[in-house]
Amino acid sequence: MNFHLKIWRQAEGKGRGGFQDVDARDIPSEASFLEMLDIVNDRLSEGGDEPVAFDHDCREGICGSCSLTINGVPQGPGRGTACQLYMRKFSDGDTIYIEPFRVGAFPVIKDLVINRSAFDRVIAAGGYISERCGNAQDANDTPIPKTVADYAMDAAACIGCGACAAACPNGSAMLFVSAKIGHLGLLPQGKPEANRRVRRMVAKMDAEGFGNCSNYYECEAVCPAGVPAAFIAKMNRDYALASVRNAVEATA
Amino acid sequence: MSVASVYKGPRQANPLWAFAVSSIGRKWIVGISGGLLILFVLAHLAGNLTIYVGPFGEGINVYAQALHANPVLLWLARAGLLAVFLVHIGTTMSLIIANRRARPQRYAVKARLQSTIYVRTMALSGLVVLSFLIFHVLQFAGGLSPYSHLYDLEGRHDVAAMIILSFHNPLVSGFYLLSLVLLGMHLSHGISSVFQTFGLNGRKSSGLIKHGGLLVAWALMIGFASIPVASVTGFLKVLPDERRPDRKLTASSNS
Amino acid sequence: MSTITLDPKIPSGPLADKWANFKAASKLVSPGNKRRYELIVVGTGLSGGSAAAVFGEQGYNVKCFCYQDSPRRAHSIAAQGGINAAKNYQNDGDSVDRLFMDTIKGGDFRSRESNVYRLAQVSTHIIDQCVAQGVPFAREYGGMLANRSFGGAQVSRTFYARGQTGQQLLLGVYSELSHQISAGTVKMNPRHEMLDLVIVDGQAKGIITRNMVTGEIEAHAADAVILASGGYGNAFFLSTNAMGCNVTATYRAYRRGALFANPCFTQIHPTCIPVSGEYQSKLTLMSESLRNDGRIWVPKRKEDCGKKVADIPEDDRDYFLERKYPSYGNLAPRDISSRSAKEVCDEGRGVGPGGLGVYMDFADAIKRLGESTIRERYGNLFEMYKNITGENAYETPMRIYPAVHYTMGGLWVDYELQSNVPGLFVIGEANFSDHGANRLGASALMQGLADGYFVLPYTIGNYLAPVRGTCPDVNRPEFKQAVEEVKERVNRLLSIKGTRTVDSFHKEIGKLLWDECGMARSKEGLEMAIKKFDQIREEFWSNVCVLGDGDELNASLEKAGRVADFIEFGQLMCEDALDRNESCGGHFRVEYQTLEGEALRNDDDYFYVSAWKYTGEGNKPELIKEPLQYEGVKLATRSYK
Repeated sequence: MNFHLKIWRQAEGKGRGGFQDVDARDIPSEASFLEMLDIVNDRLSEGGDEPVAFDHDCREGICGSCSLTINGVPQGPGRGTACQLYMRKFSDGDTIYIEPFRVGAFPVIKDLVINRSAFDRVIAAGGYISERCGNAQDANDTPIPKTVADYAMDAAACIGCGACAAACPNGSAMLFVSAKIGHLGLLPQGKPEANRRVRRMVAKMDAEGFGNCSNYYECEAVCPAGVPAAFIAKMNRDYALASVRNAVEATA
Repeated sequence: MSVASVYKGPRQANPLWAFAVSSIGRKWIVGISGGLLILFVLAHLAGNLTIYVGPFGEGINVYAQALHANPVLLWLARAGLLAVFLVHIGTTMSLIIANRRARPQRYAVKARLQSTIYVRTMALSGLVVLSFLIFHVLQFAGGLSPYSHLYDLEGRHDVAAMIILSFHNPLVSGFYLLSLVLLGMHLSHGISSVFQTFGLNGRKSSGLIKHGGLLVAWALMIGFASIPVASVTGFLKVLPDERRPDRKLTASSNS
Repeated sequence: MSTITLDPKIPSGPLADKWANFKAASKLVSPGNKRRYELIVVGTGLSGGSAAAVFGEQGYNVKCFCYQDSPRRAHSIAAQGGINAAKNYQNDGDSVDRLFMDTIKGGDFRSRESNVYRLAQVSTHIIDQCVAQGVPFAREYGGMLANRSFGGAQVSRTFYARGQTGQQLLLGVYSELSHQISAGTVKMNPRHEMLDLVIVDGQAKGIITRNMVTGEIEAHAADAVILASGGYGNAFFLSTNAMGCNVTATYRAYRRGALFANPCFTQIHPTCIPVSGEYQSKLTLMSESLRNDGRIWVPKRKEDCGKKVADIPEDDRDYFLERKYPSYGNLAPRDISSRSAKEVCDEGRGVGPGGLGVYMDFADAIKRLGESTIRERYGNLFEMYKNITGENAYETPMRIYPAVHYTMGGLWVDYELQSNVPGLFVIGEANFSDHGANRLGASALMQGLADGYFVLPYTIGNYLAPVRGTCPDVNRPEFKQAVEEVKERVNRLLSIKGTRTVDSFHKEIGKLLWDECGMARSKEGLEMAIKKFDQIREEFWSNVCVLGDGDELNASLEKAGRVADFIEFGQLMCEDALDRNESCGGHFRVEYQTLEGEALRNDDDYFYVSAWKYTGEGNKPELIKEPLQYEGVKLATRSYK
């Protein structure tokens, strides 16, 4: 198959960047999107051009390294990550735009590589259960209803790729943040510090410069892990209740 | 040891203020003000529909008289309503500015996945509805309508006639209908959004809330739109001039 | 003659009491003194991440490094099946002893007994710890934890979180690590690659890293260095490992004097999606559970291989696993199934592109159980298969082929997980200790978390307590020299400006290893490969092409450094495979098999750990043996007929 690629190239740092036109010829239809980029990069190198920088690692849709927006869709058309997208999904002769995730809080490092450490900082602000490794109680001492555990797992499935923020017209990270708040807040082990967690994580999310949710639900549509936007609703509620409780405690 | 001496950690910003300026807090403010406005729209529609009571829409005249019975309360309510509007619009503007900053660079190719036309036109529909509201208030409540000074058989202000006659002007009814469509669009997203913002949207109820919101929004729109349609088609009739107590001020003399 | 005698430091007492005895006698660092220590942890997978988090919790100053953009992306995340623990929640007779026995036997009696016993002992704490930190394991309706069974065991002891157990365990580790990062005890350095180990006065006291964004070569000093940098499966180019997985950290330590143990013990997983072309960058694993209902076959005659499945009558099909292993059939263990698939393909009876594949057919199961039952059981796997190959496995059989999946070998460590270099500790897949010649399913996650959460935090005290205040200054000559050497190597790679891409070298050694040091190995093949590696190394250093600069993000440069190490390391693997004149676990030497083609172990001559010492570039490494001693286990032959 042949494709006409328009690949975003941006020098390290603050360069403005722009599209480079690359013709990708004789691409096997069984190749994955990233393998197509491998082939393109090999040919660029052979011609003395510097290959396109892009993040990738596990190539089985779980590590969350992929950060490509393909024809305007973060992680490309269909469910799943860009590494799980195969070229047979496209038609011969297609023009394909490849851009990095565009979110203010994810600055471009080079070409298609972005810096997503804002997510790590949001998690560090409270996305954990404070417990010490050592003699935890027996794992079956606290029963957790299957429905609760399953719902927590729906949220915990988030792979932290940032496609939600990249798809959101507001650059909002609420699906990511709410998934962690939902996962930990649903489990009995996570409840004692649930109020503090939601307040801190939301404050950090705002401070990192992510936008706000306008209920477009584009995040839900691109999420490779299928995290539902209902978790954002839960976070909205949890945050308001936690703020009220905090206010009451501050005056008591 | 007294309770007061327990150390509570370093001083923080006022927690309620922190909430009010946070992203989610501002959503709540937009949601609460929007919710109040939806309630107002519902009440307003209920009031408007009284125009169908009585042969010449006298029901709405009774309703209007009752509404004006206590001017202090009325103006307080109006001031409150205005404040809610200002909060709704002002907070939304602050969010729009923040959201633009959060996404400084657009994609070369725009793709739409599952966002509705309603959410993508919220700002536009909001602005059109706002401009309509200014005209609407000036026209009917501000007394700028040429039919503002009619009185019915009981000597009440003939609000029904003012409304029906105004709608006979195609420009007025056209703008009214257009604005209603946009209001319907605004509420199509707005109603379910209020539930999402308040966290009343669960994974099972989300379909119900989405479709219920749409249904209520368009039912509201149809309710409002029925009045200009009924006016233009002649279903709603105006008290004939010859029966008015004060023959100097008639509908025909003004038109 | 060997200059080193290896002391595994196995504690005294009966097997079951060794760990308790060790803990009772080990040295401690007092809480107030912990903050006076600096520790370096390389890697943030299950073992590295958990170790860094626990050291942070205990009050040490930790510097943690990973090559990914976030610690949450370490390759532990890709483990699907589950994690073993001897909880006996199913009341099916499980116990620490049984888990220990299964693991030892699964490893074909080539692991260190005391380490494995300790692993089985701490396995139960791991589940408690994970639940406490919010890992949403699968549960039953009553709210209790659910279990599934896995290969190599007759009890149900595997805990799981859908098909994403590794992800959930790693996210648990990551959350605990994040907590420590926010507490300031752990300083995280993502997008940093360790390029050398620094040894001061014979002890590991620091590392040299390259900042993968700015290209800066940095020196970091510490009281001890912990390597948790994973396995070396990517030496084969095609494997189920992540693209970035590499041997550089452990190989650089090897070059600095740490011993590399059992490098030829690699695991090849039987059910992966076959290679479809030259461009292929990695292989995808399909859960082994498919073998419960899928029948594996190839055509009896070569001529039928190109035919459509429907055109091959039942009588012309060879269900080779059922034929050779009637009692285990399609559920024969990983190494045996993999080898059988290779044999039929070598005979020219493989199917699909390049003839490298065998059918896994669900037609019978669908006829017997109905498509909906099969969909219920394996729906997501069939979907994944369709996404990758474009084929509908409900209608035509799947094609599968074995792929490199895990590496049991690693840096040599003693009972304390310390290498022969004092101050250098190695945990997780990066060490060699617990899996012997073959790893059982759901045991990798167990070992990673055991090492990081429950073993190393106790064993490191013996080293740390006496060395307080010895963290060297990074301005010492040892660091400066190491920095210079790393810079020189980077510049050398950039200045060759040859004609071949880095990947072309990687593919070449990958194929060489797969052919000669893969599922079946022979003396001639290995000797040929060892010679070939010399040539490849020479060509690499004179003809590789690395574009771009050293002072920016440069993926080709990163890759070039890794491939350079893989070339040297591949040769070491072959040396090890050549030395081990027996077949055991994942190591199958064609000269050593029974008449029926089964592995022939040689306990008289090879009941030892092969630890290799670096003796200079291009020189044959020196073999140092750690004889194995079993107190509780009787050696036996595995049979699956």
